[in-house]
Amino acid sequence: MKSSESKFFKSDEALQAYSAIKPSILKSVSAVDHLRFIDAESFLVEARKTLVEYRKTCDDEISGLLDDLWVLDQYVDAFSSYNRMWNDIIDQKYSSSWNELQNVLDRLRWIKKFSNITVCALELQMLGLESLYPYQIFFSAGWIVDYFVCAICGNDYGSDECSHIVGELYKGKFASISPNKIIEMDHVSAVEHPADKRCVVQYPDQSNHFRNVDNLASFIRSNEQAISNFSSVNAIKIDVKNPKYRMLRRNDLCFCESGIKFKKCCISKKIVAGKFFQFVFEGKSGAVVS
Amino acid sequence: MTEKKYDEEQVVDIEGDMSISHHYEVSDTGITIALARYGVDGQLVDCSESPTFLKWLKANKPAIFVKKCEGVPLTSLHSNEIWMPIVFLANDIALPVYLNLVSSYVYERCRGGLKSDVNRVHITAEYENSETGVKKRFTFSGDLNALQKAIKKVDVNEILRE
Repeated sequence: MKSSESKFFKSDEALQAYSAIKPSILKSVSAVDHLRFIDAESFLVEARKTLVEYRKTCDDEISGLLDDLWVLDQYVDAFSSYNRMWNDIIDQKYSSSWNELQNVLDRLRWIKKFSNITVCALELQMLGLESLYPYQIFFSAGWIVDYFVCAICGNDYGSDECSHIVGELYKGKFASISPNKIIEMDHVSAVEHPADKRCVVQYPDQSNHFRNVDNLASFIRSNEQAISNFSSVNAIKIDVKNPKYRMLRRNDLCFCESGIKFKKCCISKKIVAGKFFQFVFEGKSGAVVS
Repeated sequence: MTEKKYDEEQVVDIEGDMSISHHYEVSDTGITIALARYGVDGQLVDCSESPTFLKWLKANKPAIFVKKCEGVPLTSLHSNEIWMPIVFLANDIALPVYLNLVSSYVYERCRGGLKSDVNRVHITAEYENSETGVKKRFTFSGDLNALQKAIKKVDVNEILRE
């Protein structure tokens, strides 16, 4: 066992399980590259079975092992969401692909928090992809609750009976809390940094809002690029010709329907700032103007 | 846009009738967690971050005494920002000490964050100069880097005052 690899987990034993599922994960990623999404999921089912078998034989008392196995479950689930997300993107189901993308990102956070498995490349790809979606503002609800219930012990989270800290692992169980009773729904705010980015304004999949993701999907299909080669997105601002611009007489009403005279409105907007997205693939790059 | 884009910290003198110590029986030692008025009816509630912060303090700084109200409703916000409870600091907990505790807590809480994650924290702390009796309120909104800068600034001010 290499010393650098043993540091991936709290327990050395977890490395065996990781090594056992890794071939299935690689096969799954390769299947996604070839747009064979059903095959990709079947490889992940194999990985899950391997983990189940490993759990039957492992010694639960080994310090940190149950936590490590929980991390490996999240690792497999991350690739399962990755598979469904790319399947949705290729099938132009962009709204649901956003939810799967958030599932991947949530799991990456947990993997990074509780292990040293390297997920930088996947993180970079997912964050690049996230930047192509139209969502900038999210909804965040504010409630007043009587108390929170701990998901592990079932006690009042704030009481002395509960020793768990939310967001931590306890023998393979993730500590989370839920309200016992919502006393009052106080408000819904529009925020840029919500706890859950799934609370968004829904757009139809055919909407122009998804043009950047749509362009990426077309690029992958038409250039036969392997999805795993997609590494990031560069957003560059450039000046582009305003497609709506119409040359009018100075005192005419502006073409933008503002009701203001052209000379006091868009007369100088022949050239506007455009955002230029460059899709970076290992070995080859593609670019579209948004 | 509904959120503040900037980082800020502020220390102001407060009138007696505005201070936490006027509304609550504050402890002579350690940290007193105060309730906040919230919602349309101005209901007194505890901050949803309080239980987690208290558990973290108990685990990491068990010597610090913490006074809290039991059995009060809690807020439940779904923003990714961290709203620390309003606190009153007794004379044995200097403001920089409390801010360093919060900094360690937030760092720990945000462990595993992605490159794009924005970790903003909001802090309100009141304290009283035992010699002059002047009460002050410190407020802060910003990320961890800004908090570190604020701590240095507060440290310098404390030294100059001495």
